[in-house]
Parts: sequence; structure tokens; C-alpha cells
Amino acid sequence: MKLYADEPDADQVRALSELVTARLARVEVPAAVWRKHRASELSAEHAAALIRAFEVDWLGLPSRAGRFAVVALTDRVLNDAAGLCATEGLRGYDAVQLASAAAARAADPSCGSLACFDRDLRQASARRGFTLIPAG
Amino acid sequence: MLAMRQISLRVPEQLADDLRRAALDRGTSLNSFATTTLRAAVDPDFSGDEAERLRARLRRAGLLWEPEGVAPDPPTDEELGRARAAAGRGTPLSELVSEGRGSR
Repeated sequence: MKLYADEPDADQVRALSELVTARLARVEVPAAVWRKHRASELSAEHAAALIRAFEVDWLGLPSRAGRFAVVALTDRVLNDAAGLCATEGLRGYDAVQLASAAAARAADPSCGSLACFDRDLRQASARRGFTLIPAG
Repeated sequence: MLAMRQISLRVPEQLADDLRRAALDRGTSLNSFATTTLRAAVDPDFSGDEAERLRARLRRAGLLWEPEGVAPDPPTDEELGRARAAAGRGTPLSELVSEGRGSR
């Protein structure tokens, strides 16, 4: 989300060269943007611009690939997420995010950092050995 | 010593010319350039850049989702800058994502 809002730590997230995300983000990002609009905190024009930016990052352009490497919702990811609900006490979507990150790390050990801002998800991610962004 | 095998490929003339030119530009032989290029196609560790290597490893693990669709026209830098600044005020988007995930 920090890619699309000038919030604290946004620069740190935007500086990351490779971004892996769970497929769920395709819905969660627009949902949060439109939620902000419905709360009268963001104009429709600004919301639409952010959604366009996100969709370009998601789909890419003919001249360049998308910004994200998207982790598929495989049976294994969903099974691992179900397990994390039990072992880490996470909510369903938080568990899918962490299971997706863990699957990506298993495929590519360089995926050892996780940018998240939810307290419970951060704590569970740290227990699973991820380096948190932002730190602390 | 690495065992070598010779293979023949039929490619369009233009592609053959482009390959020779690309190899020449890199100061290498056509054989060496083609070998490097073909190796990158099947081995993520030889892909061109880190982002592509990452995608290749996820793809190989059956984890890469390839989004389908055509992106809209991107906002201009000015439009995006204004929208990001506006979104940075009030409730953080990350908090709204968390709310969207339901109660604990």
C-alpha cells in the first residue's frame, strides 16, 4: 500500500527493487483505496489515479513487465495458510499473505524480507524468520 | 570437461542476422552468445536480471501467477504525485487493508 500513499516508510518500500505479492492483493489494494474514498478521505479522481497506477504495476505495459511477481493461490499455499490460522492465530487473509511469502522464500531464498504493517502479521512473520520492513 | 553436442536450428534470416549482430556488439562469437541466451531460457540462475531470475524461480516452483489483461493508461507523474499525497492524509491505506480483513 505504501507504493500508493505518501505515508511513513513509503520511501523504504518504494526503494525495493523486486516486489513479490500474494494474488489477494489484486482485490485488497483497490478495496482499501475505494474504502478511503467512501470515508470521504480521498476524491474519486485521486482514487481512480491510484487504481490505474496499481493496475499498471500489476499487469505491466507492452514496454515493460509488471512491478510485482505474483504468488499464485495454490493448494499448498492455502493449506499452509490454514495451518497458520491455527499456529499463529492469524486472520484468514493475513495467513494467506504469510503463507505466500513463505512459499516464495522456499522457491527463492532471497525473498527473506516482508513489508507489512499489521501488528499480528508482523509478529508472526518475525517468528517465521522474515526480516521486517520497516524494521523494529 | 563439459560434454558438448551440436544442434542445428532453422531460424528466419532476419533473426540470424540479428543474432550475429548482437554477438558482435558483445564482442563474442555467435555460438557463445546463443549458448548463453539458450541457457538463460531454461536456467533461472543465468537469466538477465534479478527480477526475471526471481520470476523464473517462482515459475519453476509452480508459484508464479501470470496476470492477464491489458493495463489502463498510467496516470501522469503529476496525477500520481497528487493522488499519493492525498492518500497519505487521514487513515493509512495499510490500516484500511487490515480492517478489510475482518475482526481478530
